[in-house]
Amino acid sequence: MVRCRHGHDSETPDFCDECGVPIDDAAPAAAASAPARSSSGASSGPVAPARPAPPASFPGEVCPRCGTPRTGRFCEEDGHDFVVSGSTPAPAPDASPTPGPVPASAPSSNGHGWVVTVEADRRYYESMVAREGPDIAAVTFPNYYPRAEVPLVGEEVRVGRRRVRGSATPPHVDLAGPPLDPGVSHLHAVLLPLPDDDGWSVLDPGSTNGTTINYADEPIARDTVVPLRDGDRVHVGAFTTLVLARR
Amino acid sequence: MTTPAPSFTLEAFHNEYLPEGGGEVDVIVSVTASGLGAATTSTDAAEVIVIDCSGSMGDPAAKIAAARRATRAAIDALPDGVLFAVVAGRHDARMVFPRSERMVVLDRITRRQARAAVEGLFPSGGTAIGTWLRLAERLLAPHRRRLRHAVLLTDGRDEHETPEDLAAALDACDGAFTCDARGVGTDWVVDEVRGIASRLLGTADIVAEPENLAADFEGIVGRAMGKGAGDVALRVWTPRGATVRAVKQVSPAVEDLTERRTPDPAKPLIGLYPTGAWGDETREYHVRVTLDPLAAGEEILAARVGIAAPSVSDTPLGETRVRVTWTPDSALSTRLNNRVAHYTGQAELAEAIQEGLDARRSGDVRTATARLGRAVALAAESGHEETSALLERVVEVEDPATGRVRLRREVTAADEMTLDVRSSKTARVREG
Repeated sequence: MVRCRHGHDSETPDFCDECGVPIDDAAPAAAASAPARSSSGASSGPVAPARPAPPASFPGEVCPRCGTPRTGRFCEEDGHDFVVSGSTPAPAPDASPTPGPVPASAPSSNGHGWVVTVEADRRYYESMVAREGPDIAAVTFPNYYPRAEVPLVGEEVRVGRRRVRGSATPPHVDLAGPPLDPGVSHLHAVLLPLPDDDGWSVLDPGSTNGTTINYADEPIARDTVVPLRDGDRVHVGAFTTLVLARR
Repeated sequence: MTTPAPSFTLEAFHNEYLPEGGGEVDVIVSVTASGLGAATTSTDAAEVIVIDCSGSMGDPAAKIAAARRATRAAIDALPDGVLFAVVAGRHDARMVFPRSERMVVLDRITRRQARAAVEGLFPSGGTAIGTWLRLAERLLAPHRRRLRHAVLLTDGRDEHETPEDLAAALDACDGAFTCDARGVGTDWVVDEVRGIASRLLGTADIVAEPENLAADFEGIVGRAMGKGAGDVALRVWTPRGATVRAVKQVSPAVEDLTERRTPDPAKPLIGLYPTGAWGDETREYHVRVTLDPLAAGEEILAARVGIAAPSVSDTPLGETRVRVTWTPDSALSTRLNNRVAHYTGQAELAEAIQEGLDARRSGDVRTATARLGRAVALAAESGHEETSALLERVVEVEDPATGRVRLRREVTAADEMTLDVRSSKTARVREG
């Protein structure tokens, strides 16, 4: 057993069998429970001389569960998912965040609290019927649609329909229903924060039926970032609409 | 005489440089098995021969006669010691040999009895392929032989059951045996036969002329008996946080395995993808992984690909590592690996043919011309002579380089179906 510089025990001696980083010869497993980094004494010791520190894109953020500094989407120590809350392997008390360091998912991470409200939009549905959208005749407008409000946090918010089987990560805004909107792709659109905490944008990575904004006739261009304003309506599928709002 | 130990050799081909902020890794993994041909003895194998005996097999009578000859050829190609059975497929499934629902060991006496029983293959009734497969499953499942294989022949549409019945039967058979499927004549449905072979990890093909059946069956059974390892799986490790977007066999034919992942129970970061039975052969796989981007200069292992073959070894066999490094140098990160480019083109070729033929059947001349034209250009560019020749029977090629074609007015059903069912066969990458 060897230990990588992120502190994982690895059965494979060449690359860590948890996170994939190369294993340094200078850090044998015998270094017991202390992380390899500290065994060399000096802070810039010979363990990882040429390597840059873990990417500095999450300054000051720590795992809300174990306090380990964040280096990526998942906590290196306990696997906590910083992006999708609630997907950690063990149940975490979600209503009582630790009072100390601010977790990544605090709504303030993008300046203001932005949310999208998911609803069924009859006017959009009727415009699809009028334009004879693909297979629209087979889709009926739902009599009941549970309105849902999703706070926008993190580096991306994926919108789509969860796969029934397969191991793909479910989208943050899951439109699998019921009621089902068959026009929604598995990965239909992605909401992305604009630079300088200046709100949010939408990108369609190549959905089958396209994404339109504010009842437009033409869908937005594929793979293109389109900035959004407070109150903008993003239409996906046959009737599903996401309304952006600043809280 | 010593025989070589079974072994798998894996090699990865990819661009190991990623751009800053990028995380998508495409790799072609070439897997070569050796020492497997010698690993089989006849007592390791079980074979079920399933013959369509619907009424249409008697029209013309040459068809059922050819099926009887093919069945005898298959029996002759099986060595003594193999467990075997012969099944007649109709709207139900009936035992032809032996008479009761079980398998028998092939020897001098049972071989003679079986050859005689084949005369009892008689055309009458309908077509419900799911019931045929379920009988094959009941016959093969109790036998823990290393190789469990069926060969299935049909001449018509699966019309006496629903597509759901067939799908449920395939679910039941998945993992119980592998199956090579053949359509004889031109009244069967390419998608059905291809679906069966694809799910049961075998091959699909057309035998347009009944007189060619016997040689084809002899070949199928010979190849099946040459496989030294059954239930072989591709074993793919990726780091936590990474996503395996696609796992596709790309040579000798395109076969998407992405949705067939089963996680290793002890190691959830490892996924197993079924590849069926192997002889001494080479197959290639396209694996696409997305990673969370790291800073420039960081190196990571994006994937570790190996082989799990529990029938020949308890430990994983062979392995190749897919390492990547992030770089600000776009001259490095934008290089496209040759082999990745080649097989991406081959997968597109298969898709273009199938979409083009679909459009042609629905009368959409413009789409058909565009897609089949694209296929002609891709086949020419990659030197895929077999597919180029098949395409020329469906379109008139004006310029293979740009893919300018015209649809032929008169196309025989056999030519169209041959192109369709063989569309997923790929050309190997040209060396040098």
